[in-house]
Amino acid sequence: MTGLAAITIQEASALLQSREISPVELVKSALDRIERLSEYHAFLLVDAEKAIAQARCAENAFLKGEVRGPMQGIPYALKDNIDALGFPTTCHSKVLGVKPAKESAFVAGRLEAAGAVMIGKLALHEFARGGSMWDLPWPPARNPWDRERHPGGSSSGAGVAVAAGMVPAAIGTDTGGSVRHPATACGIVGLKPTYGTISRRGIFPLAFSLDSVGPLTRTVEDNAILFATIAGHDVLDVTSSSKRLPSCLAQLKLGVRGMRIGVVEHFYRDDLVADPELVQGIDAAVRVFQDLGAKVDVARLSPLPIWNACGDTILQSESYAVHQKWLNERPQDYSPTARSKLLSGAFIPAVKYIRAQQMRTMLRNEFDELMRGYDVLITLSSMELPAAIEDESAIKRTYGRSARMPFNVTGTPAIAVPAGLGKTGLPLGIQIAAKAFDEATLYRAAWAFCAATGSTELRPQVFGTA
Amino acid sequence: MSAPVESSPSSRLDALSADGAVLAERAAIAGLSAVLQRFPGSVETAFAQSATPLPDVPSVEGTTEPAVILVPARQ
Repeated sequence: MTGLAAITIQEASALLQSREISPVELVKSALDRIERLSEYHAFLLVDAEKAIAQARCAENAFLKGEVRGPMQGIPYALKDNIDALGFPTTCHSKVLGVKPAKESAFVAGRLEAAGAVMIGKLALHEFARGGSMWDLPWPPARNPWDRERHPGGSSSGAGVAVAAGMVPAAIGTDTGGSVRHPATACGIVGLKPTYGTISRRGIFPLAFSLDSVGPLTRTVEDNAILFATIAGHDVLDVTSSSKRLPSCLAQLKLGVRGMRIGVVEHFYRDDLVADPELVQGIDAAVRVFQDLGAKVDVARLSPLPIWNACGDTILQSESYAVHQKWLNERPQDYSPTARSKLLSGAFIPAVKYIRAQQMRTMLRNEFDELMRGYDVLITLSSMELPAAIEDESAIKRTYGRSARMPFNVTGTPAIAVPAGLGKTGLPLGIQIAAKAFDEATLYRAAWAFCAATGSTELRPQVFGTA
Repeated sequence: MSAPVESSPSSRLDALSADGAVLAERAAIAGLSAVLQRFPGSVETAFAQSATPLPDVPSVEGTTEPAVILVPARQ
């Protein structure tokens, strides 16, 4: 029985508002499912008592006729680099200890104000930088489509919890693809929004000029609902944008007829040669957009290795600045993977970092110029299907074989959406990118594709067994 | 109790596959000599990861344009 597991935010919200279900019932169902699926290690910490208390508050609000919007009474979870009052923020590492946060991150505050119910904190790669390591205080999350496969990362627990139906909504972070990678690997929807549209206050940084916060959900509509709830200006975050965004939900179902779509083929055909199944998947997606009336042609950007080298240089430099003191004083508290990745910034000269930022300006200008001719671009997210979770070298190889970093370099929005299943039953995915602050068009294209293909209705077997 | 020492690839600097002397010098400049002694494999891997050159993009070499880091938040 799937019960409330398969329920979307949109469906749950309707049932809650008509009082056909209660927030307490919904939250208890989520808690029960999290416990039954504990072998997937999506959560680092669940506070059932606190969640049920919050659900009772939401229930009382409904009974009083208080309507706070579509997230009211909806259970959600946070990647454990995001502060929530009273919960420790561990970043899945021994380094930070388990001191409870003294206040909630901006995003958690927004969700609390919307009446959503925080269930717990989710697994990630250590400090959003490591990998699936086995010597950390908690085991790595596992892919619900195949427990022996890697779930993507670094927002691994977020991808797993949503894909397995533990919660309908999760918040992750994306510095070089860390929302879109688990979304692709777990067959769900993950958005990296425009840099600055969602406040990073209360979130442990990885690389300040690349970091974004993003929603993970099972459907595009749910993703737009969650994005609308957490986006907005924060005067206490110097990188927060004050630009007002148009409603993504109002435009969501307008279709793609006449939309100008550029396919960045050279990323996955020439610069990196993707797995043939994934190429077949995106070829089929291109045909779907054409059949829906979009004007589709091939678009060209600088070669992918240039984007990746630029982004990696910035990421390595900025993340080392965050960790320098601890790496020197307590290197033994990091896993080997995080330790070596974070230490790499120590060897990057200042001039190389500045060159990368200058290159970034030029790449961003190139992107802006290209986008004069397009509404959205599509390309692959991952070039490989999820690797075996115990195969460290395969995981390391797949991390370099992706096309997500370009949109962290530009600071523009990109969304990963599912695109069916491969022969082995693992999810295929595509990525759609848009201009800065044009999440509305991005969601419109994503919704049209998923509605036409039914790709967000696919569920892993775990839905039927737990 | 002695501090943990990384076993792979070797705790001896002169056994590192990279040029041990160069690595030791670079680690010293970066203030990582102590970390290198304890975790030579991690430091060697980090050094290798950092060595990826930026691609040769002529318009970037020699540019006097400032790097605009906070993009595009202040719009």
